[in-house]
Amino acid sequence: MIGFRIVDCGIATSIQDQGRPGYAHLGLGRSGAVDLSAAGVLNRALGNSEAAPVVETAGGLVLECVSRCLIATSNWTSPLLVVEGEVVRVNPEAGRQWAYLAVSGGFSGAPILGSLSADSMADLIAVDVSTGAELQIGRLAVGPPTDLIPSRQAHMEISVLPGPHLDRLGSSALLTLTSTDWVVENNSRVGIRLTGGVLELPEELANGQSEPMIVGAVQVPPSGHPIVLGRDHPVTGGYPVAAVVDDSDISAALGAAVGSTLRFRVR
Amino acid sequence: MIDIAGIEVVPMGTHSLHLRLDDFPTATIAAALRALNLEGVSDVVPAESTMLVRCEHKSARRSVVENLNEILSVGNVAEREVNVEPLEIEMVYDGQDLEIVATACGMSVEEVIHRHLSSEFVAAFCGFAPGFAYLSGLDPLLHLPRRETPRTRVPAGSVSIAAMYSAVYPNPSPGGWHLLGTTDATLWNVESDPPALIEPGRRVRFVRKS
Repeated sequence: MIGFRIVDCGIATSIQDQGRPGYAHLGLGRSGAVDLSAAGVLNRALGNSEAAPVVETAGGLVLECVSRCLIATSNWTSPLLVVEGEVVRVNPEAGRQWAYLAVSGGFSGAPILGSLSADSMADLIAVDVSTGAELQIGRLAVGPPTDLIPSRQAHMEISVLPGPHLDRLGSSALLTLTSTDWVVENNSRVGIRLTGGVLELPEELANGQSEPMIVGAVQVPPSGHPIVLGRDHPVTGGYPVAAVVDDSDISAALGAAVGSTLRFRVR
Repeated sequence: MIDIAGIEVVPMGTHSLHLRLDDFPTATIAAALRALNLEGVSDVVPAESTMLVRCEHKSARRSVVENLNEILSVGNVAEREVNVEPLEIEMVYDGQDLEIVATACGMSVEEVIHRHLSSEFVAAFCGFAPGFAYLSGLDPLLHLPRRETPRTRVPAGSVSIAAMYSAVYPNPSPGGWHLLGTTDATLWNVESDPPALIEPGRRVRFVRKS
């Protein structure tokens, strides 16, 4: 069933679910919704499985309803009935980088390697979301909630765990990491770049070997401005990892809007 | 930090593990661990001399640690390495950088080709792009740093070398490696299972197509 026609595709819009685990050793990362907990909240409100595919956008997305359905968006998280011809606009809330549109039954399409997630690093697009495209609605089985979804705090304190290379970054690294108000300078699905302080990179670590990476890893490039790896991160990387964001705070950190600040706290 | 059979195991994130394997064959160990299909272990990712085991919960992490000892026992690892036929990749030596490589290595183009053909490669790990395997085992006389200025677009199927590795570009992408030739082989296809032609640990040989 065609649910929507895209009137304006907006910025960095894609279909996302929980991604495709199990292929990182072949060079393909997991991908998936940047703010998995926001997507989960909307799916849950509609009675969908939390893994149901949603539309993710950095804003400016305009859709026209083709078949009446129940939706939930980042701007209206309670189920809302939209009817044929009705226009829906999707934009992130203040302070957030990404907005979501979920539909009862989930968006559908032909999965690639088990997932509908578009992967910006691997150039995979399972569902066309360009202007003029039509979005299909599926019949996804209702799924029980799997866990509590933590509420979002206005003040962004992010729990991190020491990274595998923290000991080699020098004795002041941990202090700098945890005492700086890091400003989100840039946010993409690949990662977020932070400024506001500098983590010194010892010369012998500047040209490191390729090591496997994980979502939430806080990498230190030669500039000293850390990068928090996002859902579409490269599977391996050569910069040392000072810390890794705790699972419970990954969605909050990766979803932080450009210009917002993060303070890291070692768990 | 935990020490298992001389290997340093440190946490990476909430439940995952980062292993410093040094002299152990990372790809082989990763394949052995992946083959166990441990509940809650979603990805086992080898790199040059380290490895990531992505665990979804605490008990998965515990079972990884419990199983590592057995996997790391030398006999077990060595056993897995034999009896695998190398994958043969047919190629044409028509690369744009053949002359540059020959000059930089102080040998003729034919000798570059000969040394590349007689190198016995093993896929050490994948990265950079889906299906891009870093093939170790390149003849040491062909080890060169990457190009100073990367190309903005390298065609799919380009067979290349850089540092101690050879690789085939699965898809068109920017790239800084030296191009020796081309192959028609499909390195990455999401319709296949597995989607990558070369998995970590796979032995590879290049064959000259006339």
